Formats: sequence, C-alpha cells, structure tokens
Amino acid sequence: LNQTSLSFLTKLKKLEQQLTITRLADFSYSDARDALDILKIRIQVRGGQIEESESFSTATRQALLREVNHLVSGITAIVGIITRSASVRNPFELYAPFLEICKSLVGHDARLILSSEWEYVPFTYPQSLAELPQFIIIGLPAPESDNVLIFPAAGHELGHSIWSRHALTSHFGEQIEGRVNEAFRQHQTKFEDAYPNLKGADLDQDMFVQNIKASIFSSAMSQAEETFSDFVGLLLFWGKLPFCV
Amino acid sequence: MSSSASSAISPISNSTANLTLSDLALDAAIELERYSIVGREKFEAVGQLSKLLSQRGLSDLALMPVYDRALASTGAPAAVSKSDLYSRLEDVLSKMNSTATASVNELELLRDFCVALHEALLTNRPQSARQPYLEKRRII
Repeated sequence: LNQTSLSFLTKLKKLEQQLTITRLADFSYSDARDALDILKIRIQVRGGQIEESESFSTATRQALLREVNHLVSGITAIVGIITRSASVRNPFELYAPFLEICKSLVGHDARLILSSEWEYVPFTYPQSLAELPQFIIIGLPAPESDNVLIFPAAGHELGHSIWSRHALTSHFGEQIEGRVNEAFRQHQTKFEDAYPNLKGADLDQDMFVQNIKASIFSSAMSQAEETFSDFVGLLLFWGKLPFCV
Repeated sequence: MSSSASSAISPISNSTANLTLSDLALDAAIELERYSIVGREKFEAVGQLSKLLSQRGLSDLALMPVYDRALASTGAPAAVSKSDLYSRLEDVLSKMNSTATASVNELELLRDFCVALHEALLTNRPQSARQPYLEKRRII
C-alpha cells in the first residue's frame, strides 16, 4: 500500500479499536451496543476496499479515500454521542417510554440512542445515517437541563424520523415541485428582472433555471419537514405540559 | 419514473438519499474496477444504483444539479435542457443494466460516471465538521 492509503487504513483501524473499547461501557440499553457493531462492520468493509485499492484507477482510489474521510469524521461524532449515552447524567427513566413512542410512530424496528450533550440546542441524527437507518439519535442539551420544554422538544426530533420512515419527501415532492413551477410561471417577469441573463429562457427546460428551481425546491422541502416535525412535537406533548410543570 | 414510485423502496429523506446514492455510486465504481482487474464481478451495487436511480433519482428535482455536475465531470458536453439531461441519464442507466455485454470502454465510462456521481453527492453533503452528515436541527 502507498503511504496515503496506509495512513487512511491506520485511521480506520484506530477507530475500530475505539469502537471495541466503547462497546465495553456499561450501557443500560442494547441499542447503543448494536449501533457500534453496525458501525464496526462499516469500517471493516471500507478498510477492505482500501487494501485492494492499489490496483484501482487514481480517480476511484481518491473517491474511496474521500469517502473514508467522511466516514471517520461522521462515525467519530456518533461514537462520542454513544459513549456519552452511557453516562449516569442521562435521564434513563425517560428512555423506555420515549422508545415506546418511537416504536409506535416510526415502526417496531425503531432503535433509540438518547444522550445528554454539551450543545446549546437539542439535535438529532434521525434519518441521515445510511449506516444506522433504524436508529434515532437524539442529543439533549445539558446546559438547559432545568428547562421543562427540553424533553418535549424531542418530539420534534421524532417528527424527522417519521418524515423519513414514511417517505414524506416523495409524498410531497410532486406537490412542491408543482408549486415551484407555478410560481415561476406566475412571476416570470420578476424572475427575469432578478436574472436578466435568463430573459426569455424556457422555464421548464433551461438548465440554469432548473438549478435555481432545485435550490428553491430543497428549501421548501426542508421547511415542510420542519413544520411537520413541529406539529408532531406539538401533538405528542400538547396538553400534557401543564402536568409536567 | 414518477416520484411516487420511490415509496416502493426503503423510506429515505433527501439527506439519506444523497448518502445512499453516494455510497452506492462508490461501491459501483469499485465493482467496475474489480471487473477490469479480474474480469468477473456480480455488479450488485451497479444494479442497486441503477434501481435506485430509476425509482427515485431522475425525477427528483433536488438532485438534478448533482446529475448535471456528474455528467459534466465525465467530460461530456453540458446538458442543454432538462430533456437532454434525462436522455443522457437514461443512456447511463441503460448501460448499467447491460454490463454483461458492455465493452471495456463503456465500462470505463460507466465507472467514471459513478466516481463523478459520488463526488457530486459528497460535495452536496453539509460541510459541518462536527456533523458532516446532516446540519443540526435547531428547534428552540
């Protein structure tokens, strides 16, 4: 192996070792350990590909190394969350009930990793990990631990998983694309004022116009997902909050 | 290839779709590399990539710039219209579905497209160093 491939392979080996050590932690629930096992397999597969990559074309080898770079970066962040999910600072008593909610709304195969994090806002990796498609990973902000609204906020995060599991992007895609096309047709003059170079362009076919439409489509889709998730959170906890307080 | 067809495959969001397509594109390129070295390969990732692109990808407006970049990276002239882009992508899909009878040159072009698609999708990922897979969801 050349020096570069060797260095990437070493990175993967070190990460794999870290996963093995992390797995020994005292997890209260099995989901975290299962996630580590899945990530380990992912690392091993990419490691194997690096070992055989000497005979690949330069472009493919570079693409593989770039992918590995992203993988190492992404897995490192997740392993950090998984490690912290074993901390006694976590609200373990909330885990099982919230997992039940997840299973009811997302599917019986839903897995949950809940962790107290040193981030100012709650966050989630609900639908983004190809490596862990069934896992809902939620980080709750330790600095806001006295805020009663923090846990209900996890309902919003769950909304993203529901959006993903029920393929709502596909469901709303056609509708949103139709509205974007309609807006372009209705406001063609304003569009041409903003983009004089595209005056008279075919709004349905011109590739420059399509790129602009794609950007608008993505923003609209993200906004729809956020609004949907807000309502999921609201419906889950609305009316129950006074009892929490 | 309507967007509703995508409900038949595993549920994925835009972000996940990028990841899945990206991973599959790289794996497909690796399979094509292996074929050029040992002369035999199952082409599982190539098949899956073709299936995913057919079911979901081509009709997804958000991914159109990605396909445009990927095709342009292979040295082909830039697509002049949406129909032209789709037509070229259909050609690529057709080659993916006939790898057994494809020439060495065609397989190399297919590999180049897969690498370029992987590159374009990877570039499309959020660039946050802390969360490279997904931008943080701010809720409060």
